[in-house]
Amino acid sequence: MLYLYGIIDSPEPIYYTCSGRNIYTLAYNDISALVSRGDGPMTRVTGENVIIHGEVLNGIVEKQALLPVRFGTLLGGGDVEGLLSRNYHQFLASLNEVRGMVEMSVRALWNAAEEEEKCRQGNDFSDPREDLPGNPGTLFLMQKRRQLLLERCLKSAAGIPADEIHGWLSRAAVKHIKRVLPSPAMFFHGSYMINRERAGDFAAEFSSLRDKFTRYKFLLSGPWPLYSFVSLNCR
Amino acid sequence: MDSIMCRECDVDDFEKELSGKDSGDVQRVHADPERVEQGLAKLVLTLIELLRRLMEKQALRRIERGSLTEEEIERVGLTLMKLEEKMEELKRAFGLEGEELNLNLGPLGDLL
Repeated sequence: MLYLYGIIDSPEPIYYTCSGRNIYTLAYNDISALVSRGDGPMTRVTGENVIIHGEVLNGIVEKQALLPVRFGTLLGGGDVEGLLSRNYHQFLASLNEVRGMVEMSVRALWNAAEEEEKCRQGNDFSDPREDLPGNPGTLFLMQKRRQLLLERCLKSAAGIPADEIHGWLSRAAVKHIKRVLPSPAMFFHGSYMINRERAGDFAAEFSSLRDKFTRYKFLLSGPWPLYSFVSLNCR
Repeated sequence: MDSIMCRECDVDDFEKELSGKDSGDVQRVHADPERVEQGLAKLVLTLIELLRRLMEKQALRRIERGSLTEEEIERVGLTLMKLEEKMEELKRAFGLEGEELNLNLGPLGDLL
């Protein structure tokens, strides 16, 4: 079995080692699959495996256009060539699109407990049916209703700064994705596809943003391979 | 440029937040026999959980619209409550207690 990391835009043989794995390429026309020998344990979602997968891609992304493949993809040896030949034109078009591009990721945390309290103070989520004795089914649904109303309030509250932050950062991006309230404490997660040479400018924009929104905590990471912007419908 | 930019005082908060997320968003049906049963159970329970949440949302929408009688609210609520309890029981039975049921649909995001 082979573990597939990604598709690159070169037919030249490439070989390197990364965390004990021997990484090499299998070419088809002018593209190649980046692979190593693979087995089931490598596909388990452990911190170590995820980090190694990322390191393998980071080892190549600066030199080649790369379509990163989802973590844990195992194929038979013959299947790799079949994959490349069946999807050659799609891969080529996608590689042309991502050449010279990288992904930057920005996450922002807020004080979830404080925001929840604001929602509760500013809204009346109660319902007289919550106090009906001997109606456990009604009480169950009223509790769910309360939770849903709170979630809506939080999503709405998160949307305002998220829109502003995303508007600021997306100016420098070719493509961008905004996620509002992916978790209770993280009210914003943005992914940005930018030209590699502009990574420094993007970091500067991020610093300005962080200085402006001092009540939130921010994390900028990247440049990464284009995990969020590559979507392949393989045959 | 550096691969991470964050104020030093904020790093712990992000580490806590991101390590708490299920890095097993990637759902796999594991090939090794010991985990096949659990992998399949997780898949099936995720689909049941999807249906359960949809039914719950539908019930809440109907309550908001006022299209359920008090009796219907109680009956639907009891059913959904028992369904939620049964789901927790099944998760425990398959060793999925505390685990978030979800399926990553690639570009479409998570199922739940």
